[in-house]
Amino acid sequence: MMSRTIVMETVTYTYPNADEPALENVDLEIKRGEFVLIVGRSGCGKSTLARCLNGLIPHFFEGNLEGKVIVEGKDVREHSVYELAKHVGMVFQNPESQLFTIAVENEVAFGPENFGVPKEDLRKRVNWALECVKMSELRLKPVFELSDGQKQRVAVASNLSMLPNILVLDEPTSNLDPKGSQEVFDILKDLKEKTDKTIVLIEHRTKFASKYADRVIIMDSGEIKYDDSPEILFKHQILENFGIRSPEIKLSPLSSPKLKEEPFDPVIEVKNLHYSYESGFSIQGVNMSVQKGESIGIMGPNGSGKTTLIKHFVGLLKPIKGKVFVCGIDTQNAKVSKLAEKVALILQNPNHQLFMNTVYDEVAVSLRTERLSKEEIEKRVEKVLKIMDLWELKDRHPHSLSEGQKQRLTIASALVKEPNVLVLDEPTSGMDGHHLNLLIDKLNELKRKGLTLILVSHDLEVISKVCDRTVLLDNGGIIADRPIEETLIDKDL
Amino acid sequence: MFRAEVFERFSTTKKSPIHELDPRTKLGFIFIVMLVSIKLQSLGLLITLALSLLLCLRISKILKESSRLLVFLIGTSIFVCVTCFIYSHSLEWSIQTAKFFARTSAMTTAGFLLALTTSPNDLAKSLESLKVPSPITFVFTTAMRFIPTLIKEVKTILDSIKLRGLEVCWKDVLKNPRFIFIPLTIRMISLSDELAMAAESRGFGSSSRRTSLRELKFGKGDYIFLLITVIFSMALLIADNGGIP
Repeated sequence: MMSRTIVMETVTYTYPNADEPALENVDLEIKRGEFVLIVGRSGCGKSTLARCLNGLIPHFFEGNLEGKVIVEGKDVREHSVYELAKHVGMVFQNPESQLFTIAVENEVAFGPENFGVPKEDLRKRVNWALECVKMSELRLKPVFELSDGQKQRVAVASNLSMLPNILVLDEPTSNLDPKGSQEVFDILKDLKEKTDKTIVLIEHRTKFASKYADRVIIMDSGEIKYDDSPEILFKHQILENFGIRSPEIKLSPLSSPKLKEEPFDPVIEVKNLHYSYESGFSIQGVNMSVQKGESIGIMGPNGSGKTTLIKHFVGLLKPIKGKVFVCGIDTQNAKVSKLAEKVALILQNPNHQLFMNTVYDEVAVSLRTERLSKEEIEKRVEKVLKIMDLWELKDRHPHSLSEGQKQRLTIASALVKEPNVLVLDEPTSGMDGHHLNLLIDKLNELKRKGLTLILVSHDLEVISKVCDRTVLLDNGGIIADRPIEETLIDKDL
Repeated sequence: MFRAEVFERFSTTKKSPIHELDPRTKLGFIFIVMLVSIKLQSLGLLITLALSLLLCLRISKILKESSRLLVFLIGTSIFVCVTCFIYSHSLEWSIQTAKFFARTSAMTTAGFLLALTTSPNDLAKSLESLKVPSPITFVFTTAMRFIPTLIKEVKTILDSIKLRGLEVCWKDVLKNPRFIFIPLTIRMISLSDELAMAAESRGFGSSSRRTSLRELKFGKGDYIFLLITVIFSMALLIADNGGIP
């Protein structure tokens, strides 16, 4: 019989200054060698549970921890985070904020160096960990030159080199494209098959993770609601109740009016666009046009040129060769502020895009530079805040909102200028099923109002439910421009 | 672009004999250059020292990276010397100014030689071996690692301001810093929290004595480099005392 490696007994935890507990009466046992998948909507307590396993709770976060957390026979209350690090490796969501050194092999050595592992042993551990994640050939490469998928593989290797028996991964693929995610899942599959490590994975993308997990735990409101075999993930009613994405994505496009029969009225026209960065990456000979009222999904792996292309729509980048027209305006000599009146581009992270003290001011700030009356500003701000379900929160500080609300606020701030086109860059990364459905509903509402939508996303689910057409990019060029129905039957995706 | 300029030198492809030296040798070299440049009184010898250091930059293949600041220093020194001559009608002031700039250039060039040929990790290890506490060296290496991240964050924030239809230039940012500082502060606080969590989860703070994958040790090259430095410095000092103008 396999021994228990993680035991949680009636664990209740409340963060400092919080009124409600983030975990409530959690009982959990995980055996050595098990692969456990934890799912649930954002804020359900998944990450809090993970933080209990390596002692970040109670040592880093403090707060009030009741009950017992025993990991590898050690009570986490009585052992510091660095002591527990020998037993529990932790891979975080953001690859940028968990790598400390310049070269890959130094990064992998960082953990064991902290424990004073002798040089000979250290070298062996680094070699083994790099082999596990298939990164041996990139050992001397600077970390910042790696793709996000490779960075996450380095993060896994950096934990493996400490030889922990337990590996906890907190949404490791949230920021990755499908290729990068697959790289991480392949490593987890190898670890499961070739070692006896216990793996605890927190993930929204149940499609990949459900293939490898022995057990699935569904959490909601700080409690464990289901603890069962992965088959539970295929019971759609349960998933919908808990705001979890289904592993079997229904990729049927919503019925939408066909636009091809209408007179051609382009809002964006890209003609033979060439652009290159000093790093050497370039997009070449891109041609596309966007008709008024269309909804287009721009897809492609990381580094294929998607963001470079959409930055041309608002003048953040100017063509080296070719032309880009936005509502008839040549972007070459147009100011970003001028183009921003026509095209609203929402970047991926809302935290970069919120500057003011209240939700109301956040939306109103860009109107105050225009010659509009106070009443007109009030009317327009109220209208968009109501469309985005934020009117009740108009006096709150933007940074006190939830991530989903912040994203809706950035959309509201863009819509208030009444643009012709709304472009969203990766709007669903790290999003649970509940918030995904909310966003899809909002986008379809805007679409019905006649707004032209362009979504840049790896997420076929949102594209299939919002877009009429997809543009596929690879290596800086368009490789397909076709109706959504054709994309959905493409087996390569 | 800046990221490439700053970090290209740490990649494995750009190596020179100076890159191979122990960082402690380079720290010693800076110390000797500082002493000699303070001690030297002859303008000719100070210029000789500065030119020999330029040769070191050339050998290290980092002349291009350092050129911008060096051209600025040389340009400023010529401008100030000429201005001094025009207003004082005497060469004395100009010579004193030229000496000041020659000293500054020598010290700056020696600093470049350390900073542009040593990886932050190696520099941190050499500081640790000189008894600087590891939390301080850790902060130093992490700060270096995060320069590209910080640049990326600022660039994204500036883009988002423009995307809101607000034309910004640095004057506007200085007048109304909230547009940059609110999002940047929020991002930095959240990044530093995540970093601290990740560092503790990787055993940082353990009471064990830190070991290292790559241990620093003096090699033949270090002894030869230091010997040449000492002989050359002695020669300059002797020549200075011998009254060479």
